[in-house]
Amino acid sequence: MTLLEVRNIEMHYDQRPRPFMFKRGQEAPVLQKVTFSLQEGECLGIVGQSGSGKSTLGRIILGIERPTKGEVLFQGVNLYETTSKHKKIIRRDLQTVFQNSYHSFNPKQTIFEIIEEPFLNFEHFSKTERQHKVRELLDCVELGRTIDQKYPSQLSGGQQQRVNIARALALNPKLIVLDEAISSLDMILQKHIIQLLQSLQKDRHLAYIFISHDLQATRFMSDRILVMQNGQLVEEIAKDGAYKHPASLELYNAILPSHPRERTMKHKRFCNV
Amino acid sequence: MSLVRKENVYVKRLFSLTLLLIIGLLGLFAPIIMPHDPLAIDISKKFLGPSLDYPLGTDHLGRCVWSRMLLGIRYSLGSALIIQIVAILLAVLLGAFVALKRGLIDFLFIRICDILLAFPTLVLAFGLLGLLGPSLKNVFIALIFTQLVYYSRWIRGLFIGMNEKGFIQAARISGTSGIKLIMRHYIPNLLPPIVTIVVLDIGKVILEIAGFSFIGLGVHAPIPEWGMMVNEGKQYIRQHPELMLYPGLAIVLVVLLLNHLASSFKKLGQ
Repeated sequence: MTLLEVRNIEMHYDQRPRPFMFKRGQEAPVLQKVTFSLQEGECLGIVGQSGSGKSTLGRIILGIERPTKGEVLFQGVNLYETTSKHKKIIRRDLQTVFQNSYHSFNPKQTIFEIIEEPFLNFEHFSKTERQHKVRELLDCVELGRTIDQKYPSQLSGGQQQRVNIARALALNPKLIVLDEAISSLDMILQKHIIQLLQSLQKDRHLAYIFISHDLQATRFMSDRILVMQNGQLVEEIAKDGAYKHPASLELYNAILPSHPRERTMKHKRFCNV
Repeated sequence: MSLVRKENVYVKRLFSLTLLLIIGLLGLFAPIIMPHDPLAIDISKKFLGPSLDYPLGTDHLGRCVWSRMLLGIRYSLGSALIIQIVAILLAVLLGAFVALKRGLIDFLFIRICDILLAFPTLVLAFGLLGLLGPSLKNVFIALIFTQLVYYSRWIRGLFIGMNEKGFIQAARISGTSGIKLIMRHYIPNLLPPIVTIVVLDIGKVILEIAGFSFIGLGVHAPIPEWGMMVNEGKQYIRQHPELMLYPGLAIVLVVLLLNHLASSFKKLGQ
């Protein structure tokens, strides 16, 4: 079943209403005619260079930023034209994990307070129930139960990212947008988090939108990959499909082969030396 | 090194806080500890020197200066405190509303603030007091208004700076909105700069109230406000300079302590 449909999204920045005397010229578009759909339980990768509009697209899907044109349908409901009550119901099913995990935590809150926040907004749990739920979530992302009284600054990068995932899982969402969620971690941690995400996907039948500039990780995670360039979708690739568009090839060629000899060979091939 | 300096800041803060607390308590319990009625006139006892009965002597109408100084704490420090608290509460409400709404309301708000801020605070307050007429109530209204213009624009800026923070967006995605968002995320993170400025400006407001009283726009004659006492004492500056000195020194002391306290908050915030 189709979970999410994005139709003809366009985005220009600087759309604030201004009186006629203070109007500015329109800025260059950040997104142009972006259309795609996502099935339940699917993992869709979105790759592209920095500034290609991936994160803006992610924020539009999450409902944080209103697109200039086009519509986002979540389970058939337009995200930007629904009542606030309905939007709150959608909010439960649509969560995110940010790139910079540390900045997505309020520095004045403990880990417990951070993870219990979705429960405070959506459920009527008692304090003990909330404690129980938070501990379950911490187990789920393989973190010790003792960290719930710590502050975000006392955790390592990997632990912070796990807390972030735990918060996203709290409401049992259907879709999680992973916006560069593993880019700031080292290779070993990336692998751990990817494994964690995949096992969670299997257990909870989650759909992911995996936004990244790292083609290798995206390929490993996703069932389908969309390639973006200058705010447009330029190519859609199946899991084992070949890259054709120059933008995709450029991304592919930027991957360093693991062995130095292959690296030199690839370099020669790419530069036509 | 940094540890020593930090401890120093704690000691400084404790020092100024304790002294301010003592002054505050003296003001609070003034009616109980005053040796005489501060408004009772007795011409036969005018210009008495310090004695056990009159610790700071008497003024030109034979009123006990010590009692007047004690009650003056209420009018100077107390009024400034009330003005600041009311102004900052209103400013947080207004600034937060405008910063979260944005759009045309925000645009108009900024233009109006810019126009009002073009006048120096004191001139703006003078204008308002001129319109409303001199009284303690109107001093309150004028000063709350001028502080409000300044604070609400500043708080709007603080809130807008926070809007883009990752944890605010994360909280929105977790379903937090409106007043919950402000109380849980904005206020705890903005408290240190707000407290620093509010405490720092109490001193400024005390000086402004005293200034208004001194030029006759503030409280009326029998009320023992410190600025008013300086004003009354100025006729006798040659014969009895201490009548101006006591309230003047009290103002200086309280303002210095408040500045000291605010700077310690600022250092701890860093």
